[in-house]
Amino acid sequence: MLALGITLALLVIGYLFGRHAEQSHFERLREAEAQLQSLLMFSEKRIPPQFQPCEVKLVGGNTVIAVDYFKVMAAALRNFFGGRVAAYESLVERARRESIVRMKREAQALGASAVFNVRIETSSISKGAKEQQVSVEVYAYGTAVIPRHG
Amino acid sequence: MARFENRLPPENNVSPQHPLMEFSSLLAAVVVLVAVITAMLALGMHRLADQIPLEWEQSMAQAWSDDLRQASPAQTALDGLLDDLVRADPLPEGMTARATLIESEQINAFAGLGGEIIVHTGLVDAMRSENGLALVLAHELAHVRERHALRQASRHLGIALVGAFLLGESANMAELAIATTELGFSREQEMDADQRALENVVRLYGHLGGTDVVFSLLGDDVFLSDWFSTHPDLARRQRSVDAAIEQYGEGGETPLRPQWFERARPTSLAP
Repeated sequence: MLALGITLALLVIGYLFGRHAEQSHFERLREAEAQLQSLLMFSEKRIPPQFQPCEVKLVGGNTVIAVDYFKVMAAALRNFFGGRVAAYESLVERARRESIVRMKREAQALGASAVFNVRIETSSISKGAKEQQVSVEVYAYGTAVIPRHG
Repeated sequence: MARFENRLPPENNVSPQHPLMEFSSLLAAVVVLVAVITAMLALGMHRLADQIPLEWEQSMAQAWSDDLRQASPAQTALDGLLDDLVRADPLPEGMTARATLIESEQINAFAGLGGEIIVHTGLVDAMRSENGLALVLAHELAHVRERHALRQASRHLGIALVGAFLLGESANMAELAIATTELGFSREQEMDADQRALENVVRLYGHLGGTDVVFSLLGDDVFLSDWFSTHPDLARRQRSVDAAIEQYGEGGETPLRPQWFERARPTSLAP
């Protein structure tokens, strides 16, 4: 009975805090993305002549986002029946977009006009460790192109 | 430079469904699934109980007749009444029943695994005649005959299995299942036992005189007891007794002989 109460409390706390954190995070992301919109970003490896001459630097942004208890339970229930794990979709989306924003901020600080060869890596922290909350890490990196005139 | 531009990040990567909606629908589906599996398993185990040999049941039973039995004239009288009932309606091959009288004010009697029956002295005191006592004893004997305790234990074991699977606890499942048989038998089992008991009292005495008092005694708030609480639908059962009395008629009551009240010195009931 106590275990059930704890589980229920964790679910409610997880849902309330997780939901609030997620919604405010998405708000901040949209703001930051709009701000950084002028800094271009491409997956293309070669830097086109329009951007040259230039100086290049490696830039990256890293984010770790933890799963809340509610999402763990929702995903566990989803495991029963299969299908899209909507609870984790938003988690990965947030991590990816936050990492890109951080990478772009670094590029902006360097005075870059664009980032080329953008790549995204992901890994799961505490993967394989039993009975531990899962966190997802996303690392975005690319080549910042800083214009050099003359 | 005008050829190069980025669009805003798309918002199509997260499913629009509200997380609580998804969660509750999934949870409901899981609950229904577990309920169906539990019901099927419980029913299956209940059926399977018929296949369990009597020796197995006896090895699981709590040996009240060894642990709690105390020699006394009252105990001998109880043995005699049980023998009379068994003679009137012999038990199936290999099955035995043992009744144990224990000192307690509760108006109570119950049947456990392996043909073990407990009768509280409070029940004997509350009865006006041997006939009423015979009805209660015949009722418990009917539970033994139909192996109701084992069926209930099997059913609870099925439920315990699902619980253990979900909660990851496997400790003492069988013991837990047997313990829950103290929660009582199902309504159908009680009605069946009543019917058989009434028939056997008629076989023994030739009539149902003195048995009508049993349910009014148990229905009385003053005597509210375990026997009452585990036996629902008292009014309905009373009606079936009344109908049986109408059918078989009433005769003279057999009074309880004095030896029913010569008891062993009181001891505490083992847990």
